[in-house]
Order: sequence, then C-alpha cells, then structure tokens
Amino acid sequence: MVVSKILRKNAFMLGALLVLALLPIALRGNAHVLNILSACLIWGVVASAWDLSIGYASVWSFGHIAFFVIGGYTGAMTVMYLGIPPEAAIPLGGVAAAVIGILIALPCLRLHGIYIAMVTFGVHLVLSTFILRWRDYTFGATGLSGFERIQLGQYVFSSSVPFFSYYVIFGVSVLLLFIIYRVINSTIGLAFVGLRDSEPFAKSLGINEYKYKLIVFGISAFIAGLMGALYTSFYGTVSPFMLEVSTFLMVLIMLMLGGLGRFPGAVIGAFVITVLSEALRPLVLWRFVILGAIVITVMIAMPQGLMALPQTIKSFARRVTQRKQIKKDSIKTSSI
Amino acid sequence: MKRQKLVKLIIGFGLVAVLAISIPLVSGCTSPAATPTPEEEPIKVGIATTITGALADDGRMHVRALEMARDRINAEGGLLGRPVELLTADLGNYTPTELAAVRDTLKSAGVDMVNYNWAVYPAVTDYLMEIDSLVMHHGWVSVDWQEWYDNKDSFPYWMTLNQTEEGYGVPYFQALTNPEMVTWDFPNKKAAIIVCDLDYSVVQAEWWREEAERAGWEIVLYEIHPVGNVEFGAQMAKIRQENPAIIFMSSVISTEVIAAYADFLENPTDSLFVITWVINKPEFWSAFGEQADGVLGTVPGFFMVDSAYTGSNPEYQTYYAKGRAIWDECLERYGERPSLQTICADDSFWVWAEAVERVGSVDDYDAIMEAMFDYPYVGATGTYGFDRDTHAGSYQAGNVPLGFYQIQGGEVITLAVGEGENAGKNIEKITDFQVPWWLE
Amino acid sequence: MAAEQAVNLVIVGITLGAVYAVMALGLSFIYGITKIFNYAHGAFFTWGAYFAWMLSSGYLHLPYPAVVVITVVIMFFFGFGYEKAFMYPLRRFAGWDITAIIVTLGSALLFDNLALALFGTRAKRMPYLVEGNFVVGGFTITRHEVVTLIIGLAIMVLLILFLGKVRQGMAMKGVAQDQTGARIVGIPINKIFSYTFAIAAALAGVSAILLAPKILVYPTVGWVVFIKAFVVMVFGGVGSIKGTAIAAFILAMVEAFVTFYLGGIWGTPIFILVLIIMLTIRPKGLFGTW
Repeated sequence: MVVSKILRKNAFMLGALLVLALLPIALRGNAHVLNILSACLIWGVVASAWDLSIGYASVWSFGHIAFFVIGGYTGAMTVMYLGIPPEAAIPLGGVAAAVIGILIALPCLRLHGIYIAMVTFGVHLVLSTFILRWRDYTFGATGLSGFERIQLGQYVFSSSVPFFSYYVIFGVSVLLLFIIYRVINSTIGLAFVGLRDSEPFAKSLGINEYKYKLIVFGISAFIAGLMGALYTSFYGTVSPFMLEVSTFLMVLIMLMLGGLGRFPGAVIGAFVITVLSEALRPLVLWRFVILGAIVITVMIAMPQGLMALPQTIKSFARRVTQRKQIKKDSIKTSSI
Repeated sequence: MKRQKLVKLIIGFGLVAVLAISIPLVSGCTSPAATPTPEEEPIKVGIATTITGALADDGRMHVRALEMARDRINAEGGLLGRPVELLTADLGNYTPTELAAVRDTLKSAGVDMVNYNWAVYPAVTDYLMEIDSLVMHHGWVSVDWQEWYDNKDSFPYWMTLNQTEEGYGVPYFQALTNPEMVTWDFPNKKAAIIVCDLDYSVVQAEWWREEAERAGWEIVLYEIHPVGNVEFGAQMAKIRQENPAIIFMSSVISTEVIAAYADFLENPTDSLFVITWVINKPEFWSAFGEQADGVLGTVPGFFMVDSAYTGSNPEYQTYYAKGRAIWDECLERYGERPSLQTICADDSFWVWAEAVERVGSVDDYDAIMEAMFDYPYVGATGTYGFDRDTHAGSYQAGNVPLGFYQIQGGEVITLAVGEGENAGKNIEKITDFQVPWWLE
Repeated sequence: MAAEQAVNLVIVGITLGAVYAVMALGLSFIYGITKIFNYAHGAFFTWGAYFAWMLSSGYLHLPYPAVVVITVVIMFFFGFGYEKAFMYPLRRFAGWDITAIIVTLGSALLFDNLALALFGTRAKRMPYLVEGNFVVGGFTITRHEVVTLIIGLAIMVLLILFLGKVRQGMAMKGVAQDQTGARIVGIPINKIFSYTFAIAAALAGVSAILLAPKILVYPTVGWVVFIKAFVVMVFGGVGSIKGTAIAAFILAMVEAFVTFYLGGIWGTPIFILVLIIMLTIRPKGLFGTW
C-alpha cells in the first residue's frame, strides 16, 4: 500500500527516471545525443541548486555560475597541482564553492532582493579577473586542459566515452537531485519558504534569518560547485569563457522556464532549453533569436512556467466551460 | 482528485516521450537512403571554425576559402574523381558543450579531413584530435600547436602551417625602427603598450617590449586590459601626457582595437599607431575608411594584394599571383575582400589536396602525411615544407615570409617583407612609408 | 601627478559617469515603478545604438540633431510597444512578476541575437556628436565630452522636475510606493507601466547616442553598459535620482583612477569592493527609497 502510494505520488519523476535510465540503450550509444543528455542533466542539477536559493529561499543570488566555475577550477587545479585523485577532486570543487558561497553570504545577510543579486554577481565579475591574473596556475584565458580524468577499470569519464560517462552523470545527478528534494521537504526547506512568504511571521516563530541564508548559500553553492567540477572533468577543460553572459542567461532561463520554486521544474527547463538549442543549431545566427522568441511565447501563453502546465490546461478548460471573465489588472507585489 | 493525478501522469510521460523522440531527431542521425558507389561518394572535408560568437568574422572568411576551393576542384572533376563536400561545425564561443558537439558531428559524419583555423585555446586541439581524422591547422598560435605536440604519440595526423606567433615580437619591433622601412624621425624613444589580457597577446607584447628595451627605448605605459574592454579613456589620458613615439596595441580582438583607435583619433598624439593581426581584418578597415590611414601592422605570411608586387624575387611573384587570384575571386563572389584567414585556409586545403592526389588515397593518412613532409608546397602565403618533428610548414623545411603593412588610402599596403631569423632587419622594401595624417 | 593628468582623468570620469547615470536611471525607473528587473535593458541600449547608427553613418546620413530626436522617439515607442506586447499580457495572472523576469531574459536573448543576425559581429563606428576640442588654459577637452555632460545633467534635472511637478510623474511615484493603493485612487496603472518602459527605453537611447561613438556599436555592447548601470543603480539606491547620479560619478571616478594607477584589469574588482563596503553600511544603497 505504502509502496503503491509512493509510486503513484511520484509517478512523473519515477517515469522520467526510468526513461532516462533506458534511453542510452535505446539510442545504441549515439555519442552526440548522449552528450546532449549529459549536458541536460548537469544543467538540470545546477539550475535546481540555483532554484533552491532563488525559488525556495527567495535569495536572489546571481553568483551560481561563478560557483560553478570555481568548482570547475578547483577540481582541475587540485588534480593538476596537488595530485589529488580526480574522484576526490569533484567534491572538493563543491567544498571550495561552498566556502566562497558562505563568504559572499556574509555581506548579504542584511541585504534583500536586488542588492543581494548585485553583490553575488560581483563574484562573477571579479572571478574572471582573478583567473586571468593568476596566469601561472590558471593559464589565463587559455584555460586548463589535459588533467587526469576519473578512471574506472578500462572506462574513462570523458565526453569521448559517452555511454559510461552518461551513467556516471546520471547517478550523480539523481543523487544530488534527491538531496535537493530532501532539503526542500525538510525543516530547512520549510524555513526557507516561511522566510520567503512572510518574513516577519517566520521571524516571530524564532526562525533565524541569517542562519538560513548561510545554509542556503552553502548548500546551493556546494551543489553548483560540485557540478562544475564534474562538468570540467567530463569535458576535460575549464576556461573563463564559461563566465560569459550567454551561459548565465541560458541557465537562468532554464531555471525560470521550469517555474521558480517548483522542484523538478528547473530540470525540465534544462532539458527543454538544452534540447531546443541543439535542435535549432542548423539555424546558425538565427538560433538564439528563435529560442528567445519561443521562450517569450511560451511564457505569455503559460505564465506559470512549464511545471504549471497541468494547472494551466485545467484552468483553460474551466475558463472555456464557465466562460469566466478574467480580471485584467490583477497586480501583486513582487521581488525582482 | 484521481483525475488530477492521471492528468499529471499523462502529461509527465507525454513530456518525456516528446523529449525522447525529439532527441534523436536533433542529432541528425539520418541514414542515407542509398549508398553511392565509391567513385561517386563525396570526400568530406570538415571545417572547424567560429560561425557565431565574437570571432564569427574570421569563421566566415575561413568558410569562404573552402567554398571557393571546393567549387574549383569539383569543376575540374573533383579530387581523385570524387566530389568534395564541406561540413561546417561551429566552435562558437568555445564552450565545452560546443566543442563536444563539433567533435561528435564531424566524427559521426566520417570526415576525411578537418580544416581548423586557430583558437588560442588548447582544448579545441584535444577535441579535434578525438575525431581521428587528419587535421590541417592554419596555426600561428603556439598554445594550440603545443597541445598537439605534447600528445604527438597518440595522434600523429596533425599538420600546422605555422606553429608560432613569434613574428609579432622581435622582428616587428626591429622592422618598425628600421629606417629602411619607417622613414620618420622618431621625436623620442618612448613607447606605450596596450595589451589584451589573452595569453597570446601578452606573449607578443612581452617579446616586443624586451626588444624595445634592448634597443634603449623607454616603455612609458604597459597596460593590460580585460578581454573585450572598449573604454580606453584612462589609458589615453596617460598617453596624451607622455606623448610617446609609438603606441603598440597587442590585441587580436577587432572591437578593442577599433575602440582604442577611435579614442586615440579624438585627440591624436605625435605617435605611430601600431597594431598586430587585426590589420588584416576587413572589420578594421571598414570601420574607419580613410581615417585608418597610417596605422601599421604585421601579419605572418605573405599577404600582399592591395599593393602589387613588382619586385624581382621569383618566389614572391608566385605568391603574389596566387594570392591575387583568390583575392579577385573572393571580391567577385562575395563582394568583399578576403582576410589573411581566407588565403591561409586556401593554402592549407591545397597542401592536403595535392598530397592526396599524389598518394591516390584519401584515407591512407600515413601516406598522405609522408607526401606532405619535406615537400615544398608553394602557396599564396609562402612556401610550406612540413617538418617531420614539429609537423609545421613554415620553419626549417619551409619558408614563409613576414609582412609589414600600413593602411594607405583605405587599403592594406605592404611596406616590406622579411624572412628568417632577422626578418625585421633584412627586409625587402616594397612601398614607401607614409607619415600618418595626424602627424602632418 | 601632473595637474593635466588629474584634470584629464576627472573629465574621463565625469563624462562616463553622466552616461552611466542616464542608463542606470532607466533601469532604476523600471525596477522602482513596475518592480520588474529588466534584463533586456542592455538590449535597449544596443538597439538604440543601432538605430542611431542606421540614421547616421550606417545608411541615412542625417544631420546629428535629427538623429538624436528620431532615435529618442523610436526608442520611446520601442519601450512602449515592448511593454504592451510582452509585459501587459502577463498581468492577467497572479505571480506575473516572476514571469515578467523570464520574458525580459528571453527578450534579451532575442534582441541581442537579432542584432547579430541582422548586422553581423562587425563593430560599427558612430561619429561624435560634435567634432573638435576646446582648449582651456592648457587643458584639452573634447566637445563631445562637454555635450555629453550637459545632456546627462539636463536629463537628470528634467526627470526630477517630471517626477516632482508633472501630474504623470507624480502618478508614477505613487505607483512606485504602492501599486494597490495607486489603483484604488484611480491611477491608470497599465498606462503608467507603458510610459515607464517608454521613458526608460528613451533614456537607454540617449545613453547609446552619447556612448556609442566611444565604445562602438556591436551586438553585445549593451551588456557592458547594462552591468555598469546595474552596479550604479544598486550603489545609488533604487528610486533615487540624486543617489544614482552621485553613484555614477563616484564609480566612474574610481574606475578612471584605478585604471590609471593600477591598470584596467583592477577596475571591476575595486568597483565591486567599494560597492560591498558601501552596502554593508547602507543596505539600501546611498539614498535608496523604493
């Protein structure tokens, strides 16, 4: 009974997991497609970690791509210079990002909304300067490559060994997504939501705002950094190119398209955007014009994001049947 | 309540199913309807270049060269009797995802050769080696080449036209202060150096600076600015104060150079404005027109088409004739002058195509490499003879000159050409130096 | 340091400051009044610059005053249309504010790449508003810089007057303070929103005309300015014209002097450091009200 209840309750997620687990076999190891799927999973986790901060805690961090890159550099540099085994370097990437995340959370404690966004984006802006200046170790804009990869028997974790690597990424992603899911449904997650929805009330219940801000920065930066290290290890390279506006914009779009604070939404957003942008590749220069147009159209048609698709359809059906007049000027207050 | 879950379930599965269906479509893994006979089957040439992103202009110039070469070779009955087909893969902004996509698409298409320009980014080299096809690399960037050289044992099928950017440094400064070339009395021995924060540009600037200091010049400004910077107000304030005889801008990003020059023109000092590779890019000339007159630059390789070569060196006459032909064809077909990128890409294609003809096979890489080694290929930018160790065409076995240029009347005019170790000292003068208009 | 250098740096600082201030005011206007953080503001700048380029050196070669007027008018309607087409339809639903952010993200992607697809990556040059220099007691000041400063200051004064004295401006202030309250007292919110976007886009157009001759016109040019305007807006405090102006000048000066003494690469880190220190003292920026 309990099992069937869990099954029914999470039918969507379990179904998706099953499909994702079996897809590589169905695709007979098509390298290009498997690498796209791996990218979808990586960005899905990064966007979900970011969602933990923006969507659940309403902490407008703009530093998550920076955390991702910090994780990537830490992973690569600890392997190159400290001789740490590449498997161990991946969680280290997360730790480094979490440390930076908590450090940058300190000046953010008293800030709100857009002011937090700016301070965290400061990390992003400053990071490239440090990478370029610390040229002796980071190789500047040339980036790092050729470091040791994770090896399991005869298999190397690399985008040139897509079948094996896909399952590694799949495993790590599922684990991290499960952690995010547990965080959301724990007291920590409830505290986040409480602070987001009614800060004075949450505070009156004794929830320490500062403590939870530090926690949310720590956890989400850790996951972003860990994924950065995994990404770096998978592709075998990391460079300041990752800090260009385009990456930032794309991941933020993935996150928001799926719907803020609607857990697997960010993952779905990541899949949709990554697959779409690959599908539109033949359009060359018009690719991102069309992608942008699709994003706008989808949002105007479905303002609640992809995760609200069932509700949107239902409310549409109800509107058709009841011919209910919609209020045009329904305006609520907002954050950024 | 039950219906709600059902809707959720159906939509969930539906979404996943749509994704699952769309992904194989995305990959473009369509199998050809009928396998053509081996004689008709096209020879596939992959182009790894930047079609989008900040370097899209270079990519366009690169693709044009191969389009012209393909049409020429196909009009004459193809290579080994088979038509040549091009497959362009976009390196974009060099994000790892893009690099993996380039590798995967070119690999699954089974290209016979990959034609690659340069990136200043060794990861591209790693990815292109994994395609397992012969790579023709135009080069001029040591880090790209070095990455291959370090992995030479695992992948030998890599050819580079020129493995280093050295020419920008020492010989360039020597040529600038060579009274044979620059006939202008420097009012002082002061130089200001503006450097883009890319390793490649920093290395060039360092070489240049060392040579300048050796010659007793004072470096009044050595300023490294962030990649993509377009505000040069503070640097120009310093330059205006010092009034140095030379302003050397080491940057390969046209936007930066254009912005700095525009700022300089607002209130010019008594200085020569000296740039590097960007001089060969139409982006630079077209932004300023006649106002660009007087700017000096250098480009490795023989690139002399706005000014006719009338000298007596028979090799230069050949290079000039070949370059001129590509130049005219490009102008006629695309309505735009080519950059050095175009001419280089043409050379890198024909070096390979002629070797394939001699060998009589397109997939016997060992034999093709063997045919290229030490064989002096006379192209439009120089004579390339590929070294067995470095796999580079311009050194030792080959002979590729270094050109020094000035913009005159809105065109890129060759002032002088030099060769070998003393490329900046032993130069052949081609055209008279023009004192820039802001100094008159 | 020689006096001439100092004066040159101050001039560089204040002219850049004037432009950043104009750009930041537009961003701050939209954020303060509509509560939408407009990621497409950089794209507004880019398109303002492209419109000005098309009217001047690109195709039509119109005289400069005409270029300025037509660009500002085009940008005004651009912003107006943008709000009507992309923002207005979202307001049917509760929680539209979040949707609005992603639509601005999507339009940033769309407009930037549209410029890329239509005009290519090649940077375009725009002529200076006025050519030539003033020579005052040994100092050389370009006329363009003087005009930039005058226009920048004039816009700030006009905006202060508009918000303080003009009916519509006061209505905007009302909406910024309390949207529900403003609706109750009969302020037409939809109209106010549209005009806010229109004015902000026109401001982006003005800053594009002032800055483009110096930093060129290319598809991603808007982001460079957008990020700086973002810093200025936060530093000055959202909704304060005075704060924005002071912040723009402080930051532009910091940047000019840091670039001069330490090199251009340290501009951004020190910029950010100053900002963080300031925000720990005043969490809502210098004069933040909204």
